[in-house]
Amino acid sequence: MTDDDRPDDLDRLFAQARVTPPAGLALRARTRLTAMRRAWRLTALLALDLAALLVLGWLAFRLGAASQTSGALPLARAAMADYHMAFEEPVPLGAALLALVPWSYVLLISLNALFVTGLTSAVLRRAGALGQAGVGGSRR
Amino acid sequence: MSERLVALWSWLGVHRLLAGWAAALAGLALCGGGIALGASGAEDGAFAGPPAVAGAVTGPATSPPGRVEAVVIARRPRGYLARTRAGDLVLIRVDARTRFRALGRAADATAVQRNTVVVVQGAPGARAGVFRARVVAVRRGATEASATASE
Repeated sequence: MTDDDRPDDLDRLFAQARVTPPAGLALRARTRLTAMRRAWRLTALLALDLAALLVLGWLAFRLGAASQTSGALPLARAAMADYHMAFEEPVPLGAALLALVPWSYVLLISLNALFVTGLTSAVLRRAGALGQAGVGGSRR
Repeated sequence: MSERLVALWSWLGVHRLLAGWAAALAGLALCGGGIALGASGAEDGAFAGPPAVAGAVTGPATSPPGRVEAVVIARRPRGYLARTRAGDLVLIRVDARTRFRALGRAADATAVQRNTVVVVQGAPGARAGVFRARVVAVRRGATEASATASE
């Protein structure tokens, strides 16, 4: 054993000291770790939510283009501009409008909107649970 | 980084009502903006191609008097409800004396269906928005119009 390995006064002092951990340290550490994992999971869900929103925007763009090409939007604009004629002939105008709307895009947008709404609600609910647990900023 | 994320999500959790409304408004803005942007970049498929009637692009007011180009929206008891290239609604009145033409040959009223593009020769009626047709010429059939619209 060299001189460096022999215990000195400080080593003997630490060996004699009784060190007790703060109360509830393990629980607090576990809670903090759980909160961090939840936060990362929520971030991943948020990324998925944003991607779904981008898809929604793209589908809306395609719906606009398809509605213009099919004549649905020009007909709707004409009916709004000439509302007297629209009031006189509501049934044929309405039937023509319904026939011209690109319903496949409307369906896709509706499904996407439902998905985004559900996902956003779930994310905010979980964030609420995180906030209520009081783990945000509770550093000691 | 993790600590900041926890703090951020905790803050969002406390203000989730505000965050929810912001998300809803963002979704609505994205939808509306997307539709407007898509529509602005596309053409009216019903009238694809150059106008058959000179001046028909700007509407019946500047078309040669007595002629209008329109796409048929619906059949009516005494004619057709149609939309001009300029976006005006017009009631085309036909009677027993009205002549129909399709593909350069004489035809009958069955040649005119919904989504058919027609060039109508006649005169404006006494009431605004009514056009009394002497000749109705089919410029493009309904099936061709649908094929162009679906492209």
